[in-house]
Amino acid sequence: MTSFFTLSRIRMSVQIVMLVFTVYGGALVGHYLSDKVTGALPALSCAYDQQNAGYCVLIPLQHQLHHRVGESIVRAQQFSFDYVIPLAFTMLTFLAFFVVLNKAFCGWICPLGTVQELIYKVGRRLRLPVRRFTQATVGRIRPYKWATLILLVLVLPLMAGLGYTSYVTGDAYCQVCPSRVVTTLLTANGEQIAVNTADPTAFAFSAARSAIFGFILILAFGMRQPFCRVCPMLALHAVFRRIVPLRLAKKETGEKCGKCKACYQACPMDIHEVAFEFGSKAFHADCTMCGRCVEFCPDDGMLALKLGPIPLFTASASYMKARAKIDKPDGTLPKKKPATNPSPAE
Amino acid sequence: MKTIYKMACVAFVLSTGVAQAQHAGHGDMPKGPMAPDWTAYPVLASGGGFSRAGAKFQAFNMHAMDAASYASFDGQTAEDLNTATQPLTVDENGAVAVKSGAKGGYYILRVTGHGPGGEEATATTLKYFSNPGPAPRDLLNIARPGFEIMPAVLPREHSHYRENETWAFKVRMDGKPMAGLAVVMETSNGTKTEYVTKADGSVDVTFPGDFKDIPKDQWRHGSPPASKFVVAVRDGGLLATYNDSYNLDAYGDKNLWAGIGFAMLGMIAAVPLVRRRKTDKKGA
Repeated sequence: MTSFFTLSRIRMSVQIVMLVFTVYGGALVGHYLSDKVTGALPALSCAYDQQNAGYCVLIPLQHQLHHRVGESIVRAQQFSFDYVIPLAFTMLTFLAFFVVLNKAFCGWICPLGTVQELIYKVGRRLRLPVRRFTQATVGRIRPYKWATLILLVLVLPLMAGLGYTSYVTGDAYCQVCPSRVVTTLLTANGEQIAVNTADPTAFAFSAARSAIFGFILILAFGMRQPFCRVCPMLALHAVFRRIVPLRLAKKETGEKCGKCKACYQACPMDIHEVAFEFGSKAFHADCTMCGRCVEFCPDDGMLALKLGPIPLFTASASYMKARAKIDKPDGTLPKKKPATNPSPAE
Repeated sequence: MKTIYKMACVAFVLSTGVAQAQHAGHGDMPKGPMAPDWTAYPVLASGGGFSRAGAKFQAFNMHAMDAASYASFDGQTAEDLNTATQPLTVDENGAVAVKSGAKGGYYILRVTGHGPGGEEATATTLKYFSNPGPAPRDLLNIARPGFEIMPAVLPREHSHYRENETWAFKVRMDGKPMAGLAVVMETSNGTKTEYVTKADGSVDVTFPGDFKDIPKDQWRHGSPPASKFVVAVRDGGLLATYNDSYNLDAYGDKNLWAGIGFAMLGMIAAVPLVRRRKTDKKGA
């Protein structure tokens, strides 16, 4: 591999293609629901984008909990397996996709992840300072993704179906998801950034959505993947990450490892375990399988992206040396060397 | 974890306040057919009994004689159309039931008979049963016998026709496009507009911005109830109609500038986190 065809550049190319496909792909696959690639994509491809090629799995998950499970229990005053069959099919479809790429859906496919990454790159071009969380702060933030998954994706939609909470909470996560704003704005549709004035709950959720969008938009100039850290999709992926053959692998031991921390600095999710833990513990729930840790690891074979036992991309000192000339582990561009006049002797 | 607990409590309390009021009407079945007082054209109105397995309709402003439903399908041949066609029985009051058999997708309901002026009338409407099913592309475009006006394309599932949007309809006779015919659109909000079909039989119809001030207690799920419309076209002694519903304008219950304002608030809140600090300069 030459220094031009780095894993990061290949990944960015895939991300751009997938951004176009997930946001505008309806022109290619078709307009109607049954034309879409799937209604259970393990990435934040928003259904409010009328031109998309596939839907995020969180949409049917919330709707089925709301309409099929919750409302059916209210109507029939009983629980039946019929109510959960669509839910089971949604999760099976999700798993059918997930088993192929694992958490790479976050690092390679998700349109919101790509947009945040592109904004961060602009921040580096503008030489804005890089902001990173301390290990302690990362530790405090991590539970939020589980809270978002449990509260907004699972509990509130079910409560809405049972009649305990507002209808608006039937898709509580979608109500605040910044991808809903980002992907629709990319299609020149401003409807999802507008605040809903119909009732207080809808107003509160839509105002929060717009504010979160603005917050993430600016934060991404200085911080890598700010929203991903609390994204419920990251949590959903984390539940199933161990059953998929494609994964981040690290050797069980290594004397040199843990000293340079280049992998930790390269990690857009600030996962310190990748530097200080070994074996399967290094593949953390927050990993998006972007592969930057593998790229910047100078210890031959210490880290690898593997498909089962087959290494797809392995850390090597020579690759890292060439890679570091493009940008630093945290994405900062290297300083330009002052032009030097050739010596007269030459 | 305390913060998460507080967040959960706030979200729950916020959302329960209006939950019961909003939820009261949800899931209620339509109580029965209501004769339209807004049009004299033949229309097919919901007659109650809607479920994922089927729906009842009531023909108004016509003497209904025959009916058929067409399930959405993939195919272009007459055999495909035959397979998708289900003859239906119309009772003496003009009531007809469409059965989806819990199979999803779109169903066209077409009722034929005599119109208010004694003309040969074909009334058509469309129902979406929210189970997986083929796209309605072939269902809309295939050549069907008779005189008809049909949507060229439908709003995507879970979307609607909305005020101030323009949508294409097609007028055909035995599948052949009919050019130069006058198409009338009438809405339950009292608007009447006229259009003329183009050479390919299509006509672009703009849904009028005519939603009235509907009291909030009649709103459901944050929106006023949908209004009705019918598009009708005549050719000699033939009359064809298509009726459906349309909703409030995309921004009718939203405020774009408020949304931009909240987005800017979010941006301002993030600025201190990314701006250059003295320690950055020292570090540099």
